[in-house]
Amino acid sequence: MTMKILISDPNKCNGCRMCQTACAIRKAGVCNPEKSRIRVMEMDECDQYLPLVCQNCEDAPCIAACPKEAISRSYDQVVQTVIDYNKCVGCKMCLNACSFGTIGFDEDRGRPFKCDLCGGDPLCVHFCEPGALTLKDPTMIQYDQARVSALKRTGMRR
Amino acid sequence: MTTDRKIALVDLGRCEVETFPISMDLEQRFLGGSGVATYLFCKHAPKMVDPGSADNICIVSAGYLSGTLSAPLGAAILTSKTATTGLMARACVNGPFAAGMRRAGFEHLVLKGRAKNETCLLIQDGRISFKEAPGLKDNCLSEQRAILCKEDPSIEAQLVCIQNKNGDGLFFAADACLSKGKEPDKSGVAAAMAAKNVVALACGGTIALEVKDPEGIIAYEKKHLENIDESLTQNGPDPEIMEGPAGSVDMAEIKQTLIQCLGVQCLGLPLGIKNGTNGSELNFQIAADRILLNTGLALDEEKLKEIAYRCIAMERIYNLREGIASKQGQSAEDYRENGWTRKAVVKKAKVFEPLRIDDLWSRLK
Repeated sequence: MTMKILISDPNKCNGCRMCQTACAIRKAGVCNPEKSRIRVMEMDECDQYLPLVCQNCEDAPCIAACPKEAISRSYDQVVQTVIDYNKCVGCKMCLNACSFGTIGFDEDRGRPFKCDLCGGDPLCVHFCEPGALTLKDPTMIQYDQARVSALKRTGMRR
Repeated sequence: MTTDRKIALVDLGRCEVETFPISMDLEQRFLGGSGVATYLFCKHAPKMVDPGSADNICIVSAGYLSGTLSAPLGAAILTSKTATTGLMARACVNGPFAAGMRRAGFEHLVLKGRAKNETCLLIQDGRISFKEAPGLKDNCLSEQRAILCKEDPSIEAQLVCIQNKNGDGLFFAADACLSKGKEPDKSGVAAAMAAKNVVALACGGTIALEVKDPEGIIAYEKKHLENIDESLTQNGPDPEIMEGPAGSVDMAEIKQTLIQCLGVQCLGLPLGIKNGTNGSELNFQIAADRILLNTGLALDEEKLKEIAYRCIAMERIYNLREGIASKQGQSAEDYRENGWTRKAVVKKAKVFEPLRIDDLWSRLK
């Protein structure tokens, strides 16, 4: 059991949509961004893109919002929130509750969907050629950022 | 195999739209993108048409693989006769428009006539509507996008065509990959479109694009991304010239035409930025593999070259009919050097029939 989260770096993302298309094909068998578990947000103001997936929040609003208790936290292969489709009634409360807008709704099946991190080996990471998507242990993020900062400072001194 | 591809014949003057399915025969002969666009242009453009007149036609095409995993964004190809050269010309616009157009239900838009006022075409889920957009071209790109999205939030990609102060056409492709912003159009196609009073094309759609072998294409693209290096993109020793019924064609032109038919910038390297390579080289085998996995259409290197040659031949025959002359400078010189003369090329039995374009004989003779 590992706690890992998908980190996206808008400074590296070039908006190519390879991640989105690959995800839609893997999960729905068609090329349609609507069916993708990853969303590439366009930020016109700063001319950047931000890929977003379910953040598997510690205190997940979707779990609190679900009236049928169909969303729960799973500790199987990776720590994440999962939807139990046997309990889900397709009320879309989780879609409204999600702060990131990363829960989608499959109109054909009448049920929500979200990123499941492909069981711990996300396909989108493999398809991100610029390296904007990485799967990281959250406890390591602060060290990674500190390392980047330190390198910058060292570079400045040199 | 894909069978639900559609062409829309848009009469801007009458605000009418007719749609036609793309036949399997058309797909096999021209694939899509600039290939089908060239065929449609030869079929619909009136003889000796004035590029600035309402009778001229403009064709907006999505590539054959646009929107698929092999080309998630792809490129839109615009074809028209331009005043710049008096010949058929194309402009390539990168960005999500081509994929958006396919998801909105259309592969090709044939624009005829002239709109009474400045018009924006809204293409959404199999429908095309006309929206008068006075003053839209006076706004900058992000403002135009904001105006259109405010009215309909489902519009996810757009292509905007305006004219600058000097009268030169400029294309603005919203949200273009890597080079977000404007793409100057030096071919003059944007000016031809602006002459039709079309200031913007906006599309949004939710139509899913079928994939023939979903897991196959994922595995194939993954392999290429993980093992990407220059050797994958290199073709074998290619002849520099391809000979055919209508004369010789440069191999670089064959590759360029195929890239425009498929709507991809590069088939060897999907994004063309890894390892510092520019990825401009097209690999025929990789192209054939990707077409097979995405659409189910089985082609080999020879057939791909044949398709590209056919498209180039059509364009040149059209240009010969319109009267390519020494005033066209280098183009006329190239035609003469390669033996592309009206006398040598415009022959039904020797050229049109072997190239399987005899249905255009009455239009191009």
